[in-house]
Amino acid sequence: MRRILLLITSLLMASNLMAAEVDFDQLKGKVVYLDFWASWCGPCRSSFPWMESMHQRYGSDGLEVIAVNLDQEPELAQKFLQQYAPTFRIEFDASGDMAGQFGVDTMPTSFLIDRSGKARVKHKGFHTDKTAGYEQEIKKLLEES
Amino acid sequence: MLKTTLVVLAVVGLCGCSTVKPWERDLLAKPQMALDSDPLQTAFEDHIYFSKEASSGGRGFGGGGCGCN
Amino acid sequence: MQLKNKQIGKRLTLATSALLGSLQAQAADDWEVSSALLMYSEADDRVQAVEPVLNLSRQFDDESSINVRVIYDALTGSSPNGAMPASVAQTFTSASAAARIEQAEEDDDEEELEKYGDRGSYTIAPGDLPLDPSFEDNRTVLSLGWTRPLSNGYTMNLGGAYSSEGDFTSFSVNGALARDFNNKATTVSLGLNLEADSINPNGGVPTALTMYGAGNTDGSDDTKQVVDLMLGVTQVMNRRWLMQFNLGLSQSSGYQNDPYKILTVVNDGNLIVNPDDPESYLYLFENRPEDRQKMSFFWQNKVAIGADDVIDVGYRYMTDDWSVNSHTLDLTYHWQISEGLYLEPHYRYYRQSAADFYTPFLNAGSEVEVVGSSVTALVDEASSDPRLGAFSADTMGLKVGLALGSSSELSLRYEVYQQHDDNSLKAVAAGSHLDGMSQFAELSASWVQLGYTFRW
Repeated sequence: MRRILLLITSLLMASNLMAAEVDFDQLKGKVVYLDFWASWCGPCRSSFPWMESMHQRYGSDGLEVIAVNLDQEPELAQKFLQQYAPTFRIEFDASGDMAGQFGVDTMPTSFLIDRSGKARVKHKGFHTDKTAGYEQEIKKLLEES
Repeated sequence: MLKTTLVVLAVVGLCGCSTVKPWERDLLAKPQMALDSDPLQTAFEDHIYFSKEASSGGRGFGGGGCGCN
Repeated sequence: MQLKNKQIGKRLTLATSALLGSLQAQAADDWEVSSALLMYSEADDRVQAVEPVLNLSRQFDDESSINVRVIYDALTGSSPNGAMPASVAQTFTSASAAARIEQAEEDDDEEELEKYGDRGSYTIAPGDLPLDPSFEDNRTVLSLGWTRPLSNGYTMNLGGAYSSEGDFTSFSVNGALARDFNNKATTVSLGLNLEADSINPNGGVPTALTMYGAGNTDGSDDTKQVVDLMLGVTQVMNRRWLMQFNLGLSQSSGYQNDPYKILTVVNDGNLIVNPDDPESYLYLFENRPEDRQKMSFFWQNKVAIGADDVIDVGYRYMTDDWSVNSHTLDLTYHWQISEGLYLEPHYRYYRQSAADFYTPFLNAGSEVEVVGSSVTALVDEASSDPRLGAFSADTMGLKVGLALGSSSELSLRYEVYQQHDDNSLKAVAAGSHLDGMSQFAELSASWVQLGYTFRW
């Protein structure tokens, strides 16, 4: 709970939060799926095709997928991106500053942020058998004005 | 020997000391960093040494790696 | 029984480390197929073995996974029968085998004849190590494992294995539970392995410490049970360093002997003519205790060097109630030369002390009472099996791995093994048959291992 409050506070002070060049202020009005990933993480490989399909399906409804890369060896991240060729937004946070601020404790970790900039859901890990539930959460937040 | 082992295990266990961030497990995730990076090779070795020497086994399992999910 | 896995306590290793350690690498919906071939050979025309293995594993969407492994083992060559080399020729005639061969020939029983091969009779030249030449056997092993993550950070593993060869069958089940702590930086695991073996030696179970060739048997088969417990802690020390400790306990009860191994009985270093057969000398079948308790302590470190190299240092200490203590040091360096090519030089040092009942031969008078044709052992246990002697051993090897495409790999490994005698010499009279003869057969062996892994 404390983590979410901390997160909300830091998002509301978004003008100060420019870590990894993500301006949350500018993103208000959209539902943001913020994902922290790395090329060496197995479940992350599974999550990319799913994130791509969410982006294709709901992008026009206001879903913004932002995948923040945490690779310590940039060539490995580039190779991964060449292979998966995502069309959604990729950011880089090799120093882990942004991941630290968001309290990332598992790889991968993702957050669903609503249109007012409030973080509503945190997913620890990516589970292929739970994607239907993940999609429901996105749809619910998109329905909110 | 048993006492020493238990002390060592306890110290390591309490050591929650690891300050490794989840995204710093990139090197540990590489296949060459797995505790048993070639299980078939380990099986051959275990078999050969078991047949020719008096000791066997000893290896454990689990842990390390990327720590994902 | 060289290179025969009579105690398949490796089930723990098979069923668990193959899965718990590699979960992160495998995507669901595909089978990972690993295959390997071992070609093993010992110096002096001793044991040769060819062993192909096929392993299939698959991870499912709920992060559970299964593993199936099939091993086939074909052994040929010869193996020491436990008797000492001597300055005179020695002929080994197993009366029971000879009788059965005669009967089988009369009955035209091909199957029975094949079982005995040349085991009826063979002669060893003076100075040569007595090797039983009829060493052919085939072994098949099937093992299965299933891993499943449970709630609260626990992972469970269950498995079973079945092994069958001409004179030995083994069945085992295993279970393990692992729990992660500290964001998966620490893993504690507990495993249990239960094994039941059935031994059906050719010619029946020889009565311990009775004369070789006399045909005294205690039935046609015997059994053994083994219980193994393993407690382990794996700890991520820092971004580059992973450490593991394991404590293992093993209790084995039942028939521990090698039914084909004998010991030479001598009088002041001279071979004694067999009272029942003037064409051969006197040897007794070995005997070991009915129980064996072992404890092992294993410590392994993996340290990442640079971006892709790794140094692997492992140490194992083992002690048991047969007075065998051993130290093993295992060093491997993984040198990633380029993206798809690596080299792994390897060195292993091993040293063990002898079992308290290990002896290269028996002395008439103090260890065996020979009065006319009456032969009685005065010791309860005795074995000259080199596996139970004191020795050190070095292994050196090199492995090369080549990636073929994105998800398959070919590897080749060559290893050389050499034992060094560490036993104290048992006194023999100057000029006797055993004078100057080697009391421990130092094994030299080498093997080639070919591996191929791919996703399907």
